[in-house]
Amino acid sequence: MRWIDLLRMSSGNLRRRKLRTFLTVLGVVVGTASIVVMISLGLGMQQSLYREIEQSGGMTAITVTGKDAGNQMIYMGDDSEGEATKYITDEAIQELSEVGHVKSATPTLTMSSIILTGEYYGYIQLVGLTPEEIERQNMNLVEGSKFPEEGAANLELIFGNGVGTMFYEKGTDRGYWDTQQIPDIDYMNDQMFLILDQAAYFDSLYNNGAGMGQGNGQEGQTQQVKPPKKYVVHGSGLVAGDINSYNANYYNVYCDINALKRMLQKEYAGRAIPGQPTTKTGKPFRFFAYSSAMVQADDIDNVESLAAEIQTMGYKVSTNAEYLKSMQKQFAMVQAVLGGIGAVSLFVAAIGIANTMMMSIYERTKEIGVIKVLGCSLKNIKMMFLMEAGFIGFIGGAVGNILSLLMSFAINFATGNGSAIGMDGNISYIPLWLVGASMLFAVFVGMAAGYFPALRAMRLSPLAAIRNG
Amino acid sequence: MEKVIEVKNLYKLYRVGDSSVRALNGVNFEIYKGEFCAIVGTSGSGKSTLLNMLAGLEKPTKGEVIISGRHMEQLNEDGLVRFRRENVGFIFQSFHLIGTMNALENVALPLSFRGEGKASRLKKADKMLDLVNLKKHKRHMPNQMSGGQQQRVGVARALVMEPKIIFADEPTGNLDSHTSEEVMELMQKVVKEQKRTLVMVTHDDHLAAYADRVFHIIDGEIVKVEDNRKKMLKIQSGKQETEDAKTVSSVKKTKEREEQ
Repeated sequence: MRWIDLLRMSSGNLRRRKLRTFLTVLGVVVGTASIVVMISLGLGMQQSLYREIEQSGGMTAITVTGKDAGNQMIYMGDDSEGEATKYITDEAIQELSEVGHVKSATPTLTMSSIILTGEYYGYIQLVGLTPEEIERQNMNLVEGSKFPEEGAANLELIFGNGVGTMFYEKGTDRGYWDTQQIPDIDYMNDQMFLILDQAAYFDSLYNNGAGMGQGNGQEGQTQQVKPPKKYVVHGSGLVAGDINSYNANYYNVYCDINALKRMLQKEYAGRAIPGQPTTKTGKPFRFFAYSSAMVQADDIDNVESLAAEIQTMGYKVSTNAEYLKSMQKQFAMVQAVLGGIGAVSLFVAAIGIANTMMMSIYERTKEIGVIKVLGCSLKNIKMMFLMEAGFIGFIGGAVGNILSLLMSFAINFATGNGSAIGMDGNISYIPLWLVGASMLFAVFVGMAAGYFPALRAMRLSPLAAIRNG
Repeated sequence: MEKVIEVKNLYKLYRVGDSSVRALNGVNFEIYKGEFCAIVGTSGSGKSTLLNMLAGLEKPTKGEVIISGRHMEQLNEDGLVRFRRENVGFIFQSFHLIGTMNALENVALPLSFRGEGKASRLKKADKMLDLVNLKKHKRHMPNQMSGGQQQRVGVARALVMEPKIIFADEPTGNLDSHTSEEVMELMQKVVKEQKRTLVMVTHDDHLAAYADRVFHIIDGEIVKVEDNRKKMLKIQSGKQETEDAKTVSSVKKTKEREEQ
């Protein structure tokens, strides 16, 4: 028998029992949709993780940290063992870039600073990166944004979209978290001043250096009265999104590391730069230390060995690959659990298919006998019933997928594309392969459920047709 | 004459509780190409069992069924289905048309089992429906047709495969006597025109009279073979007796056994 004829007979049989087919298909629809939606939630989480990793240098990146330099508000979580014995200096960067399998090595300088603008002051995390590194961040900037130009007179900054929450009103000291009002700052146009030495700023403000100058108080104690220098800076870019859409660049302010370094060295010529390591007597070293270096491996397979090598050189390392691996394990589990919940309903649907097929075979005993007498081969009879069951799976899978896409859209819409639960990107993500795989799976489940009924049909005696009635 | 069906020493035993019932008890006969044979007997005589065995729907307990040189008792189920597909047409008592297909599609159905394309099988089916005088009902569904019309579709469906043999199981059992006559005449005519071999099972002696030869079966044994052609020939010319020498001998054999 030809395929097209088999197909025609199978679909004709389904059309004959519309209500029953509809109900059986409905079961598959619910089953498929629950699997797809559940998995799409897991995938959404995974995707936001990937995006985060992409922004922090991708899978081949190794973050190398030396002895503490710069100052950070946020503890950079890394579980690498051993203490670093060296600072990340220009020589160290040079050294790192000459290690085998290293594609590039770039420095990062992170400093906690203060920005003054209008009637606000804000604590910011200033992140100095090389221009290439800034571009690699893949930031989604608002229109009119530019990357910091090289050789600009003032330091040019790119603001994360959440920086607004870090500003406080002068005098009242009330910020976003107190007032729930976003400070009225035009990052791209307002006049801004940058203060690199937080402690000194407050010392000068309150004329009291004893309480404030703890971590990096060397500077503060020596220059108690004299306020630290303010630098004129201006914003060249702003990350797109409002205060509610979290992303990897949310809290950071980026600038060109070379410009930052030049500025620091010029302004603090001969004196200790805030955040820089000093000798015991408070004198600066001759070198300039960065807070970390971003090393890109040439291949993802070399990341691990390279990380180990750098560690033996006396640095602390952490890789995205490590992080990703452990996260992937977690996500696999989450997806298995979510998919399992969905699979239960598809399993129930499969029982429904088997039941429907059994019923229809009992009803059609005579008809099956007749076509057997007329010479329809056993294989074709089996195929016909398998295809009928497969058809139920296929239609259920297709409709189930459409339903899942709608549900996914609804979920993402309701949660404001993920920002409501502090995620960057959609909560539910349905890639094309998931659609394809779930369709195939639905067809497979249908056919598996229809297999034994089909065997039964195949084995029915043709004599049933001869008996009269 | 070419033998199409040859049955040798055929037994069929059914087990009913502890005792066994002999549905067929040593049946021997031959059917030749182009013959219209009727197997006549009361219900329970074993006539339906015999037909089932000829069509390969049931396995004999003992004995041989040879249809156009092929031993049916040796084929497995797949082989039997293939054999039916290639060589056998079937007419059912209760028509057994597929309810979701119109007359034309019903007739074309067996051809689709052979893998024939839609256009060519519908063309053949169309021709067959013309042959059975159903020109106006080609697009009718089975439930829109009378019993006689349905059975004519059944006849067309059996013929469309161009089978070597057509089996008919009480083809007029569900029809009134007038319609029965019509269908019988049609079958007789078509079989003659198309030179097909037809084996019909019936309990009605009157309908059996349409056949060339009639096998009477009682309690699983063939007790009498009538040759209607010979009667007719006798009436017509009273001469041509040579034609069916073998048939006569087989009749004699059966009669001898009967006397024993």
